[in-house]
Amino acid sequence: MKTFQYRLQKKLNEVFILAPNSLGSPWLTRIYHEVSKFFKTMPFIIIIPFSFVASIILYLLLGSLVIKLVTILQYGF
Amino acid sequence: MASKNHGLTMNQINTENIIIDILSSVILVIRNFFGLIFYPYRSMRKISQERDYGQILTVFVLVFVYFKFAYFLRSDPYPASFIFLIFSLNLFVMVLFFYLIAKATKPNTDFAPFLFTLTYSLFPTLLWFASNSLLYLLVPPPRTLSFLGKAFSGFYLAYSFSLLVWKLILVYLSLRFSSKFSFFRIFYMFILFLVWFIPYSFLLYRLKIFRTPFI
Repeated sequence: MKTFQYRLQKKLNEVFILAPNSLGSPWLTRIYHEVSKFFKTMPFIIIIPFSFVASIILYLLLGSLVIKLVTILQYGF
Repeated sequence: MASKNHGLTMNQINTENIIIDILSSVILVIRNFFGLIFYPYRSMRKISQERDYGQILTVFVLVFVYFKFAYFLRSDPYPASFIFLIFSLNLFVMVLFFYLIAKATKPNTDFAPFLFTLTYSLFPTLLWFASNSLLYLLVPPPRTLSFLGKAFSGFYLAYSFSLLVWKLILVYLSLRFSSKFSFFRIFYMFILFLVWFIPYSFLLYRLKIFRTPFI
C-alpha cells in the first residue's frame, strides 16, 4: 500500500511540475489547449498528412523551384 | 548479491558496474527516443527530471558516429573530431543561453533540465542528417524535372518538414519543462535565440563547417 502511495505521490508531483499555460485571454488559452493536445501524444498522426499537404501546396506555388530546393537540401548534411 | 560477488576482485566488480551503467543508459536513451516519437509531452517531462549523465554521453557518441560517417561523404571535409567539437560548443552555448535567460527571471532555475532536454531534442536533427546522408548515397542529387524526380522531391520535402515540426515541438517542450515559462515567454526567448543564431549559422556555412546547422 505504501509503495502504491509513494508511486502515486511521485506521479502527481511529476504531472503537476508545471502550472497550466495561460496566454492572457481565455479564448487564446482555449485555442492553445485545443491545438496542443494533438501534439502531446502521437503527433505524427497530424504531422505527416499536414507535411504532405504543405509540400503539395509548396510545389503548386513554387513549381520547379521546389526541385532546386530539394537538391540544395540534399547537399546540406 | 554478496555470494554472487564472492571470488570477484574489486576491479572486476567496478568493471561490471560500469558496463551495467553504460547498458542501462543506452536502454534508457532508446526508450526515451521512442517515447519522444509517440508521447513527446510525457517523455520530455520525464527527461527534464533525469540526472543520468550517461544518457547525454550516449547521444554524443551517436552524434560522433554520424560525423565520422559523414566525413567520408563530404567533399570538403574537416576532420570529424573538429566538427564534433564545434557541434559540442554550439550545443553548450545554446543551453547556456536559454539557461541564463531563464535564470535572470527565475533565480532557482536548474541547469541540468536544459542540458538533458535540449540534448534529447537533437534526435530529429540526427535522424534528418543521417537519413539525408544515406539518401545522398542511394539517390544522389541533383534532382530532375521527371515524374520520379518530382515524386521524390515531394516525399523528401514532406519528410523534412515533418521532422522540422517534430523538432520544433521538442524544442518547445524542452524550454517549457526546463524554464517553466509560459508560451509567449518561450516564443520571445526563441526569437532572441534566432537573432544571434542565424548570423552565426551563416558564418559556419561560409567557413564550410556546417551547410545546415546541426542543432
